[in-house]
Amino acid sequence: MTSTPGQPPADRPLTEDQILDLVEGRLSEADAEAVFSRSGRAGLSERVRQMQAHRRALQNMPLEVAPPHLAERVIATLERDALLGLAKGEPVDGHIPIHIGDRTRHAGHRPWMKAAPGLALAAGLVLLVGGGAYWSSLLIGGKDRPAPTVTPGPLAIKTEKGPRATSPSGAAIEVEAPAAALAIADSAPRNEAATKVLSSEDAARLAQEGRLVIRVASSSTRGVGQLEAMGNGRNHRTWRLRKDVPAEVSSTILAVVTAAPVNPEFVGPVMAASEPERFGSVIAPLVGPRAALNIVPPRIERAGAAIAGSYLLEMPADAASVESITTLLSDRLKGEVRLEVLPESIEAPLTDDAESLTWWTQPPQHWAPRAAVPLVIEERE
Amino acid sequence: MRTTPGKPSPTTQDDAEDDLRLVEAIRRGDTTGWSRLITRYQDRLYSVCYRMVHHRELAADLTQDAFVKIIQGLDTFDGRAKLSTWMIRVTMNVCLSRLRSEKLRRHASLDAPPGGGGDSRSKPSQPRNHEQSRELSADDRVDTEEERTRVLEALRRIDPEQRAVIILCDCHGKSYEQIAEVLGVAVGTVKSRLFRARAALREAVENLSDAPKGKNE
Repeated sequence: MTSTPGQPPADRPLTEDQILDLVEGRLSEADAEAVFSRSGRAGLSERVRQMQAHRRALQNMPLEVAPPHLAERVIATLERDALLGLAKGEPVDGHIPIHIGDRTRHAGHRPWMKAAPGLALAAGLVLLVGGGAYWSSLLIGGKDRPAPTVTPGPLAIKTEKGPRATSPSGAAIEVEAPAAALAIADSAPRNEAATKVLSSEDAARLAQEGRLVIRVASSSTRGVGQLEAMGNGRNHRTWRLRKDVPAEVSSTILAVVTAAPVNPEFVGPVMAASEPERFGSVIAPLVGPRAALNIVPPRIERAGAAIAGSYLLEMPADAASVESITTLLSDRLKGEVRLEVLPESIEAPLTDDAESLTWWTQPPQHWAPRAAVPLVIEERE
Repeated sequence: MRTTPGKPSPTTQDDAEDDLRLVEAIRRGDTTGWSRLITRYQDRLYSVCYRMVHHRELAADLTQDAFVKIIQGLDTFDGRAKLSTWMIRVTMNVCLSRLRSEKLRRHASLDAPPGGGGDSRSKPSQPRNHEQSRELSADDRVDTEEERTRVLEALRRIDPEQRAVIILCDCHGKSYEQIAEVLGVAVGTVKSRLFRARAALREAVENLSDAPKGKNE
């Protein structure tokens, strides 16, 4: 556009071109002044001067220096692309030797959809035959038909319920346990010694003797992983959690925790062929509209099913440590902590790490024998 | 109608002829030409990228991508435009696509320190135009440096499309026609965009001046 200052009337705003001419210095000073005075816009000259200053600042900025080895990087990329057969800056992931299929390509055209009408017909036939068989079995069996039963297979173990515990075991932190806090604990006969309430001092002494077991009953075991991470021995804690519980220790713990007498009443698996007279009664619950409701799976109770984890807890065997560990377990696992006495002492080896070997470098008041205490975490129903 | 900003383009006729010879050599399979091309243009293209994203590492990556695209697509360069213009067009497209896809306009540029993670390489080393090199007093230098920092900071805050026009016009001295060629838009669009960009930059600088210092640091 021509930038003659006389052109814009006084009452009309300046055009973008005129302002650009002003900012980029294509008008003489006199012409610029004339444009400003004719524009009648207060502050315009100031704004234009600011824009000019910004332009000057940008013009005076030096070129940035490219990082070293840029050329090598570019050439390396070009060579790589040449080896892969890429050209014109195509992305590498579209040309790697392994083909990556387009996930959206077959959307809506899946192969099995071609067979959909056939599948629907087959499903209809199955329903028809199944329904027919069900009603036939009802008609054939009549009223003399025995009640449908499903005999448990060899994996089913019938568990005898032990005498119900009348009170929870002794615990340093006395927490009133709900009646059905632990399915296993309810079925286990109580260790007489465990019924005694243990103080922290007693617990520490028992830990030294290898006769202490810590049981935690929690309704949620989400904190177990966190606890394991805390006690992995890689941080500077006075205690450590070990998963490598020796077999003899495990058996002792289980004897206390899950002493459920098992009466293994094995019954053979369901064999329709072996009982032809019961064929209808066996088949009947498996077909027909109420098939799923007819089958009531036998309850399988397995001793130890509620144990979420068993560990060896290496800790200083003193009252303070017992208290702090008990509090920690209670907090982290949100459960009930019980300190119980084992009927016989166990011998669990301690880890030979730097801390256990250099105990003598600590101040004397920190000298405490370390003990490996079994810790059992049980999931409360 | 005058559409050329006051500052001439930095490439001369000789440079343009050199460029064409270099392109021919590369097309004939002379891979050493790659290095020459990169060496000749790396600072200029890196500056474009750095001004656009204001982050040194990202700018280096973008420059690398741009060079790869340039060399691999050299066959499509028809010689109608200057090689430098065409290269800047490719580079600017790389920058704008990255900014659009990663929405860096909102995050990275605002999070980056004023120096953009700057290091010793960020120091000014190559004055672009001898005409603009002036002898400055110490006070002038401080003022200029402060002004420059503020303008750069404001430049990071405006829309990338507007930023691109200002960078091409003011930092690289491209004419309106060349900017239109680089951005693939009409000359009228360039003028309109440039006008808005200048207004936005002025406003951003003003906002920076008004804001308490701690906020910008």
